[in-house]
Amino acid sequence: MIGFGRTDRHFLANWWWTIDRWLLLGIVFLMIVGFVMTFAASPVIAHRLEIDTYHFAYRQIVFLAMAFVGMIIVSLLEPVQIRRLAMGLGVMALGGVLLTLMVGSEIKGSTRWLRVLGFSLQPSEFLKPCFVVTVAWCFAMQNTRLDVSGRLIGFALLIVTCILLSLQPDIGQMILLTLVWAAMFFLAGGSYLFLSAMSVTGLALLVFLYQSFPHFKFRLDRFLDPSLGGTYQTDKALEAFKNGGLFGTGPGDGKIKHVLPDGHTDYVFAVAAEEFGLVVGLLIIFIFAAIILRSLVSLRDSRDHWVQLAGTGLIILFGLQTIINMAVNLNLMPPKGMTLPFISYGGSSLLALALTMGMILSLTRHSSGQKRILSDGSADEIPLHKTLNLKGGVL
Amino acid sequence: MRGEVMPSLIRPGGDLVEATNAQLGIRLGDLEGHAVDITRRRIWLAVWVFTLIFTLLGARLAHLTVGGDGPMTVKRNTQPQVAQERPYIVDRNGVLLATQISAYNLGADARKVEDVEEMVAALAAILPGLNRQKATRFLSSNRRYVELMKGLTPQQYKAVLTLGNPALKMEKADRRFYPHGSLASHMLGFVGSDMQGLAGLEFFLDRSLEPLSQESLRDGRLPVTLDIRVQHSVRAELAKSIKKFSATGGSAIVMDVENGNILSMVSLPDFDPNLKPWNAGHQRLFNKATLGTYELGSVFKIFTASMVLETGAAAPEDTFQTSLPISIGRHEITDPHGEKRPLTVGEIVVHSSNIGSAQLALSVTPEVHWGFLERLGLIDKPELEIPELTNPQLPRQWGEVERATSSYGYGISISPLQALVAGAAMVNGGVMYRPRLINDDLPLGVRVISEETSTHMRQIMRAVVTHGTAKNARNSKFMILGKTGTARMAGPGGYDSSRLMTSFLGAFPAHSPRYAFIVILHEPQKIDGVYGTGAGWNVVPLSTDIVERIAPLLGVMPHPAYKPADNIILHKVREVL
Repeated sequence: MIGFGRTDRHFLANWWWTIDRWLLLGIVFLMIVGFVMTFAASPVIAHRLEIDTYHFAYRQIVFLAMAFVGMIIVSLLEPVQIRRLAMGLGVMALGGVLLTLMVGSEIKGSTRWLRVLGFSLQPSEFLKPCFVVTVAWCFAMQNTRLDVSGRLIGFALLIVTCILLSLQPDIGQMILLTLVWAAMFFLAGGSYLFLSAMSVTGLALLVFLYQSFPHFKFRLDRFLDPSLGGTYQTDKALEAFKNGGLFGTGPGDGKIKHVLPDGHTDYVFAVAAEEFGLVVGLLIIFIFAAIILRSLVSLRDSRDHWVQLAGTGLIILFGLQTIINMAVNLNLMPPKGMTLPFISYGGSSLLALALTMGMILSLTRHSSGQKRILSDGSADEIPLHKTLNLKGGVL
Repeated sequence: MRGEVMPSLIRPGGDLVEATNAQLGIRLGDLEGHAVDITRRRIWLAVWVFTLIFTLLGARLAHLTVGGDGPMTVKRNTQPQVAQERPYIVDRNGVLLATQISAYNLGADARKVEDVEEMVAALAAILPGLNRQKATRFLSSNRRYVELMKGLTPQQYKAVLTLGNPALKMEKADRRFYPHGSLASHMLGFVGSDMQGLAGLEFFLDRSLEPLSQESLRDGRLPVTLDIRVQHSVRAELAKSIKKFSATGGSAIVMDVENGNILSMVSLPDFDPNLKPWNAGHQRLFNKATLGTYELGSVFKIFTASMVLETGAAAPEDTFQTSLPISIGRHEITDPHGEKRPLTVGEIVVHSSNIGSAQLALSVTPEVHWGFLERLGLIDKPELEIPELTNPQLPRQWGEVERATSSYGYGISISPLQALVAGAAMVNGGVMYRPRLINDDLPLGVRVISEETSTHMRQIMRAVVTHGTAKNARNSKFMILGKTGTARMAGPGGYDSSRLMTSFLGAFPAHSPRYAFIVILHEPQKIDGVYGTGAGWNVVPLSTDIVERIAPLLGVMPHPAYKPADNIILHKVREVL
């Protein structure tokens, strides 16, 4: 066994004493809920598709294990390594998105998937955290280098990514990334004037999307006027919440999962609320909120601008995805296919989330940012542990 | 640390940038420190926004789950109350088919039991069906309520009362009782231990969207279209034949062609709804007449023939060459014992020619063909009050091969009920009635073929009896018409010639059919004294026996023109048609 004394200089010991353990605990809690919910919600789906009862459940266990290990490994990295990882993976993910446009398999009208080693991967899922970290770097550069306009580069990145995503087409992810970008721009110190200009442009763009993408129009129309019909999933979800009551119907006794096609993915929150009731539903909301708020407060104390921006960007990405999923489940928003982090079934989204949370865990470590490590590539020449972090911490 | 700007240790861009900045009079450390402070302030805003949104989500969740008009949890426990209102079911003559009998459930407060052994002994003396081991275990526990036995008779109830033991608790829990046992089991269905309808009409009683109208109830009794006398005759004859031919099972339905009333519906083997039918097993619970779908074989040819006559693709006297097999793609269609001469549309049916039938089907366009099957309700799930219904199994494509094989009943599986409903429309003047078990409104019919086509179909189907594959029915004085089908059953390795399903879809009396029927035998075996295993040798005589028994009950008179078969002058088919 590795001794985990505070003065231990082994990198794992260092990791243990610098990691935000409450944050880690919250994520592990979500993973456990995801594990339970997959067993509750997926057998009926598997049954309906006439495949092995625990097909989804077993796969999800494997994915959860992979995600956990991946997240821990990423959280062991130092900020500069995080950034290199993000840029490397980002380029690969962009390439992957391009590739899907050429050879991707079409599922439900969009080409978002690539088959890699027998798995279906969705490159756009991995693109999101990498995009955020890279944009954060650009924004931070604005104040460290006067010879380059970081914001302009960040804007260019947004445009390129949006064009690629709209070609898939994956309008939901596109809107999500734009929102995160705008939030980061604001946090980085962007002017209110520019932000208002962007909001107006965004609204105009939404109107344009409404006009030009029929399924977008379909969903929005039906959200605003349910009497048009075609709101089957929403109606069933509302029924499920009502049916759940305070303590739920009990595990396995929920009915919604028998009638919803997306009971194990997009509508897993409704399934959870039906079987476990308001109390557990509130607990899940609380854990999500706790993870987000704790990360934000922790990042607030960082003295490194890039760490601040990258961390908050990532947590906003995580938070927005959570909020959109829950709001759709609770019929506060028109239906948009968005998974509930760590709880919905789905390999790509789980692995991408592990990457996101691994990065956040790394960026919120006590040694990050506060010690003002670095915000650019010039650190390459000077080994970290010699210059800054006296506890070591280089892999 | 907070707010303190630490000296920068590393600078990007090296000296050049440093120099440029120095020229501009800017110290980068200040600039970045300033940006960090702005971000710090704005992160607070993000914290508040997230807090607000998550609070809203939580509030919305609370509102949806426990707010509004109360949770549904309350509703769930009220279901057993319907038990008291469950109507009796009677047949069309008022004969009781399903009723309630008084019964009681026995429980006990285990904490108040003083001597377990003594109590179990006392109870067992009254209740022969008591599980003594279980009762001992339950009574030895410390629970406030343990259930000892369900379904005590009034006599047993009285006897238990006289024990005078305050620990024993009894409550009235009426039980559903079916006086005729298994006779109409598949039609009536059954109820679960808490009187919830689980199958058949019992299921319908719980689930029908609208409450039963008062017109459909007579003194709290629900009359159904079934005639228990007919049902008894049909079931008895079917059971006899199943035994005689060592068949694995069979089914039969009798329907009034003028309104769709189902007079009898039998699927064998069946079960006794009084005796925990849910334990009866799939074989017995499965309703072959409505839930099973089968490739009915040649019975389908009547639909093919009526299609070409109705659409005018061929006139009754047009002939088709059937002496040579025809090839469609890699598929070859042959006739087992063909007539080596051109056949008319009617003769194709009478002699059951696959080659001819395929040509008939291909004489119309795929759209017309599909549309006609759709019009006859052979593409969709049929409608009936019971829940044991299913979609037909249709070919995945609709090319020439599929159309040709389906013209003689292969590659398309439908339920016997569907075949009967469509078949009745062939002979009743061309109107297809929605089948029904509850006769509470005007019959629902749509015209599917013209009266003229229907007349042709009657002639053709009568000729099947007088000159074709159903000659064993020609002696009936009730003038049967119909069409036989002998289909090989599909097994894991393709069609199995040793496993046949024989069927007869018919109606009587031929000159003006009033009742249609379909009778099916699964895997009948060859027996001594009978020439073959085809439909003509087992299911046709069976149908004749059924008709001979039920026609008098239904008030159908023997035909005045009836003469014993020996005296019938056999015309050539061509002249008859």
